[in-house]
Amino acid sequence: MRAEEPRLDAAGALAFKDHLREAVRDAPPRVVLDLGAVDFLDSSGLGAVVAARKFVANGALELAALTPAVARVFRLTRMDSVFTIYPDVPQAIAG
Amino acid sequence: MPRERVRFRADLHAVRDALIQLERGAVLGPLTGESRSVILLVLAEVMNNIAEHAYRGEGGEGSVCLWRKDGAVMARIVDRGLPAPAIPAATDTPNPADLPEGGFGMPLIRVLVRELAQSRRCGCNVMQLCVDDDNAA
Repeated sequence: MRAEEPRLDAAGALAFKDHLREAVRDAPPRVVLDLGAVDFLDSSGLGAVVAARKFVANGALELAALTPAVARVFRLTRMDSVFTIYPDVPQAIAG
Repeated sequence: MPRERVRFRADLHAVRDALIQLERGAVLGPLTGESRSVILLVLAEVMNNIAEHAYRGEGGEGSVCLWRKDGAVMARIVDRGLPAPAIPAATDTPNPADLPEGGFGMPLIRVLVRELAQSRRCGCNVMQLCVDDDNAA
């Protein structure tokens, strides 16, 4: 699943969460969220990704292709310690 | 030295628009992408706080003034909302294991700024902060 918006920010966090809730309904047990198109993530956007994880059964939401600015937010908040994060989508799919 | 001032309506979409304007502006435009993304993240957290808390989502107006000083970006952010809480010098991030959905904003601001001063003057919250270009965060 790919996040298409370049900004995952406070203005878009609610819509992103709603969209993801729908998108993962009846989803397979493992979902990879491709964040390669997102070049700006703020604390609200991060909260939306954490919330989205709770929509996936067993919390099996994994992340791929974090841009440097997005990776920084995950690192500084230590949320990179609770998500499986892949450098790119092919490696995520290979698992 | 370039200096730039942007006024913004205190709602989240207007904050986004103001940040995009600043990103392309005279102060932040010439920076490296990495330096620019750090100051934009700090400004986003501060400005969203103004929209959501100082004005309680009921609208209002704020302003951001940016300028360069000694390898850093200086920012002064002003609003006329409710008195802003002090951002503690040491602010822990929420425990990741709890899967928190909020509470990241103030710790992010703290870890990314070199200096931060807050005051209340003439009914305004005034925040002045400094983010180094070579911030290693």
